[in-house]
Amino acid sequence: MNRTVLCLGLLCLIALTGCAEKLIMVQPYEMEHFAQDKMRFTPLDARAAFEEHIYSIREASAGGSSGFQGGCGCR
Amino acid sequence: MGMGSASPRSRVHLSLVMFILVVLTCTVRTVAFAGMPVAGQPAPDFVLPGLLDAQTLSLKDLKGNVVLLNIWASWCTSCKDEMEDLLAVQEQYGPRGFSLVAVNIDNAPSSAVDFMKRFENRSKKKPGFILLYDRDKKVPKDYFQRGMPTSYLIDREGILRKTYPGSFSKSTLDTLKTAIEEALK
Repeated sequence: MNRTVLCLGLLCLIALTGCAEKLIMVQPYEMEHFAQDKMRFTPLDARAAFEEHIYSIREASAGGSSGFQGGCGCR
Repeated sequence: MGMGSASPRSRVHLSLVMFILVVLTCTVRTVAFAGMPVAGQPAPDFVLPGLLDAQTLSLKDLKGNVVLLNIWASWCTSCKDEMEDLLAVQEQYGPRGFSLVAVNIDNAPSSAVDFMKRFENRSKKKPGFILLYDRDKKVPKDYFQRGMPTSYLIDREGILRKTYPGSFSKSTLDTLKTAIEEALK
């Protein structure tokens, strides 16, 4: 009985994982609200660019910030 | 209880369950992306009103033309940045049977209309391409759009030739022009 429940649970979990992108991922065409200025981490463009520059030097990495729009997913 | 102490029957059961899980995972993913248009297959049709007027247009109406379907929004900076390049492409290939169809997907069309008016004033000419408005975002859904903006090259027969996710850069614009030239042959 326990094994059956476990198997069914696993099946549901895998099925949900398979659907995850469709279910929970915000699609690019749905990002209008994310692209608004108020979604930025900082209201100052110059400051955001400066902080990103420092961060990329310090961490030897780039990206993931909100220097360019709030997060509309635009390239 | 480790695997070492499991009976052969349990192992068969476990293998069967694992097999079912793998099949199910693949099936669910396949179902989720079923209908996604791929190159070489007919591009999904649409009927949309104009952004600046109420005149509707469908993809079928453009059969016989090479179409570049561009999905854009006024909140997408890179979409607006590439508009000038796309206008130049339309001017270059328009007389040879090329149509640029720019589908706007803003929640409200007013900001897109404002942008197009500013664009007209800046470039001092009317945009020579077709502007449509998709309030329900049916086109990006049907085309399984993966980025903003995305452009789709559709040949004279209505077959999807290529997909261009993201805005055009200098090099990808050259690639697009080569593809348009081939499609126009």
